[in-house]
Amino acid sequence: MLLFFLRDHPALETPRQFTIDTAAILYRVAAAPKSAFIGIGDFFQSHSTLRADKERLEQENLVLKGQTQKLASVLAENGRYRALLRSAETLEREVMVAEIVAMTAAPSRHELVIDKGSADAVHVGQPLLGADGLMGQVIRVGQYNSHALLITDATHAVPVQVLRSGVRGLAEGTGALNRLVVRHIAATTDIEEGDTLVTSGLGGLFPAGYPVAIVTTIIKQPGSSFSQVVAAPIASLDRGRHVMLALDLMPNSSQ
Amino acid sequence: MVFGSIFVALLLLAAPVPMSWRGFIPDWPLLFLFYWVLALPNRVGVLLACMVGVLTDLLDGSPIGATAIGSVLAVLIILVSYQRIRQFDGLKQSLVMGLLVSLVHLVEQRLEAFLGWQHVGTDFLIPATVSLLFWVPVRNGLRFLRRYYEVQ
Repeated sequence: MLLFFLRDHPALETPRQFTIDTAAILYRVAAAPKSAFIGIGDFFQSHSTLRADKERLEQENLVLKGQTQKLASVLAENGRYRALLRSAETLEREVMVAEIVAMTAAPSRHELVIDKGSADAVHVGQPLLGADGLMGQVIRVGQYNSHALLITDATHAVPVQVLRSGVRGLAEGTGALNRLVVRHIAATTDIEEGDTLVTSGLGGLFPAGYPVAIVTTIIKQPGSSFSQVVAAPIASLDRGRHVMLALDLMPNSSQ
Repeated sequence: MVFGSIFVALLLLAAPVPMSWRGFIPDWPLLFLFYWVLALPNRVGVLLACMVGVLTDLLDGSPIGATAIGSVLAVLIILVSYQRIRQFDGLKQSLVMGLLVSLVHLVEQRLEAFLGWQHVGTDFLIPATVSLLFWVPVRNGLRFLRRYYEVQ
């Protein structure tokens, strides 16, 4: 009972932040041998490897720059079309890069500890993006660290939309890393295996249009009016050291 | 010695592992705690159990006290029957420890469900089974340390 009343009590905000930061320190200490190993490996990379890396990155950079030029012109064109259609220009979001400190120790939960907190203006509900797609959202914020819930956690759901047909649904986590379930999709709906699910922007928490998952199986049972849709997350949730936090909408971009 | 080993156990719990392995990591802090209660029941007890529980909750991000309540219960059980548990052979002791660890996780899981965390299935019992397998090595290792450093 006491736990229940204390759970969200505003007076406990400071101690709660303190515990998140303390836990992050422990996670850092526990990960220190691994980080040191990686650090030493990085330090003693050979000259030729570095040169090859530099070469590759320069080429990649060139290609990406070229693509960005194209993107800029497409964006401008898109803006003009939207102006013609008299609809609001799509909102652009800036991102902030954060490093993953650890996974939290509870095996039944999919939670990350990241190294940005309220001192960096991180707030609860902020979307977490990977390089390929949506990863989750911030659920607890400390001063210098915060915890983020992944989309595959059993308590998480995200409003999605099929990219191809625009059908809307709710992708729920299952507690398995490679499985999301979209419930309450009518059996007659236009959805196929291989379809990409993107965030629909409904609910106002996640920005619209970020890729979330790819439909892997659709189970249609004769007699049932709903089909069961299973999808695999696009973002590699258990790999990589960095994530992006989507910053709030810029006020001047809405018209 | 007692505090040091438990701190090491907490670090082991927080150590980075691949995500697919995470369910199969034994509950180090609980195993270490149970050993010390069994070995030094007049020195280690409910207070340390509470501390270990709170620290584990802190690491997990679960509500502070959810694990602590369970571990206090488990330690009380050991304190009541440590003389009998000491007489058991390795297999029987492992079974008892497995049961106690699963008790702690069950209490934690029920409390969290009450506070609004959704849990699926009985996956939370897997760490208890793995802990059961690790009891004998943990006991032997800590016993060696206790005798070597003559911890009373």
